[in-house]
Formats: sequence, C-alpha cells, structure tokens
Amino acid sequence: MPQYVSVQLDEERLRKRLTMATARLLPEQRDLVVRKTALDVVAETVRALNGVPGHPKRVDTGRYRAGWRMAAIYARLPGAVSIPGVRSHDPGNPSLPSDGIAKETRGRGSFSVTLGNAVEYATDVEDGTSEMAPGHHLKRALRLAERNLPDDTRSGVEKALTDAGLVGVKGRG
Amino acid sequence: MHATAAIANLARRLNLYVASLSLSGAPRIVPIGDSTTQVGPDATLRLSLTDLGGTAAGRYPGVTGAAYYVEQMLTADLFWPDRERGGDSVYARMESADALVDALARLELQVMDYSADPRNPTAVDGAWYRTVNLPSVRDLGTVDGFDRIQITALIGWHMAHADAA
Repeated sequence: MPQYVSVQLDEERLRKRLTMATARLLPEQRDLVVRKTALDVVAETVRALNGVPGHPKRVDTGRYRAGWRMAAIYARLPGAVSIPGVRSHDPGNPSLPSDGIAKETRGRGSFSVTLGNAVEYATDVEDGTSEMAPGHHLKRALRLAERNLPDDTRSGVEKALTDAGLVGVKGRG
Repeated sequence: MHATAAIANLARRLNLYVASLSLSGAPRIVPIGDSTTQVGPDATLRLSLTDLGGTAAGRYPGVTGAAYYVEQMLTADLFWPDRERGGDSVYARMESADALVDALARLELQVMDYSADPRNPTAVDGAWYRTVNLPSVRDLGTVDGFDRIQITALIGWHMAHADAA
C-alpha cells in the first residue's frame, strides 16, 4: 500500500520537465521557453474555462478567467495583451487589480515565472465543491504543457523554439 | 465507432471497478456521468473525468484506422461528514483514500464494449486502460460540513478511429 500523502505533483513534474528541456539553452533562450510555457498554461486554462469537449463552460461573470489573463499581462508574457472588456464589470463581482498575480525569480542559472489567481473562489472552480464537480482547468493545462515540452535533446529544443516562433534556429553551429 | 473510442465504455468500466472495491465506511458512490450535484448526508465518493486530449500514435493493430494515445484524469472526491455532522471516524476516510490510491495505482483494466448489451459486455482484444502515474492525494480540509480528500489519477489508453469510407 502506498503511504498516505497530501501532495500535488502537477506543478513539480512540469518544473522538472522544463528544467530538462532548457538545460542546454542560452539564458535568453531559456527565458523565452519558460515564458512561452507559462503563457501556454494560462491560454489552455482560459480555453477550458470557455468550454472544450469534456469541459463545460465555467464562466459566469468572467472574473476568475480575467484573473489569469491579468497574471499573464503582469508577467509580460509574449502574446499576452490587454484586451478591452476582458475584466469583469459585473457590479456584484467586479475584477480587482489584485486578482492576477505574477512573480519572476532569477537566480544563478535559473529563471522561473510564477502566476497566480487570487479570486476568492478560484479553488472552488478548480477543485469543485460539495455541490459542483471539479473543473481541473489548471491541472489539465499543466498536463498538456508537460506533454508538449520536448525531451532533453538538441532537436527537441530547436523544434520547441521554432514551433513557438521565438527563435530562428537555422544555421546554428 | 471502435469500442476504445467510446468514453461511455471507459466511464462504465471505471464506475464498476470502483464500485467493486471494499472501502472503509462504505461511502455512497456518485458515478461518472451522474448529474447529482449534492453529496452527503453520509460519506460520499464522487467520481468524475477530465479530458486531457491525446497524441497521434500510428495505426491500431487489427483495426483499419488511426490510433491515438489519449488520457483522462479520473477524480475521486471523498466527502466525509465532519464531527459537527456526526462523523465518528477520524481514520475511515484516510483508510478509504488509501484503498482508492492503491486500487488506482495498479489499475489495469481491459477495455470492454458495453454498447450492444451493457449486461454482457465483450472484451476488446489487446486494449487496456492503465494508470500512468502514482495517483495524487490532497486533503482539502473541511468544506461545507464535510472533511474532503481528493484523489486524481491519469488513465491512459490507445483509442482507435475507423478510416472514413
């Protein structure tokens, strides 16, 4: 029998894959891949909230969804742009500037982007309640991002950069 | 439609598998696909699936059609009445969670086709649902009068789609 543990592995697994995938990159390239991956996670989370097969639409006022977009904008992720009307203007549940959270951490040889959603019912939407099944929009997005990350091979990293449209890799020696 | 492409077959298989387990406290099961939203008043286990998409995986043996490796996230939400609601066991929900994790960690179920006769399904040769990670367990604390534990497991299998005529 496995021991009883209380741990969420999704983020840690993605972090490890990301570290492997960027290990041989120049710092500037690594930063781009990290930012692109963060944007992918936000984009897939928002896409699932809007409704995809297997995920019914989970948007009422749009405040929670807007929180993720705000976080991406705060983090200056490539492709994250401020869209007029993206925030909730519902008088009963308006968006707040503090709904989106973004933090960059740069260490010796490391770079991380942390995004968060501070809407008070965020965990209810993600994990469900006693009256609502879990949405797992973020967990789904983390899994898809993990799956899409290349292996730690030169060709894999080059493909990721090319697919992302971030870096031209032709002619690299 | 090939039996591996029917999510209804997966849902039935998982519902029956979980229902066959001996779980401490014998929680009432809200199966995958049940639109019941209210849990309780007694211990309840709510099952749900989250689609994680898939990737192309060549051709399916014995079938004229494309194969995809696909994943679904199975969520097992355990709701236990808290002390104020008369819950009397500190350990029953943990034991129940342990049993679920153990069962899901070694999950390997042959795909069954329930479409023709749900009472007498036919096994699909060479097709299996398998867990692809150690299930994740989170204690979500007390919510709405229930002590809650959430277990998630990734289920993967190869799905076949017949070629267009």
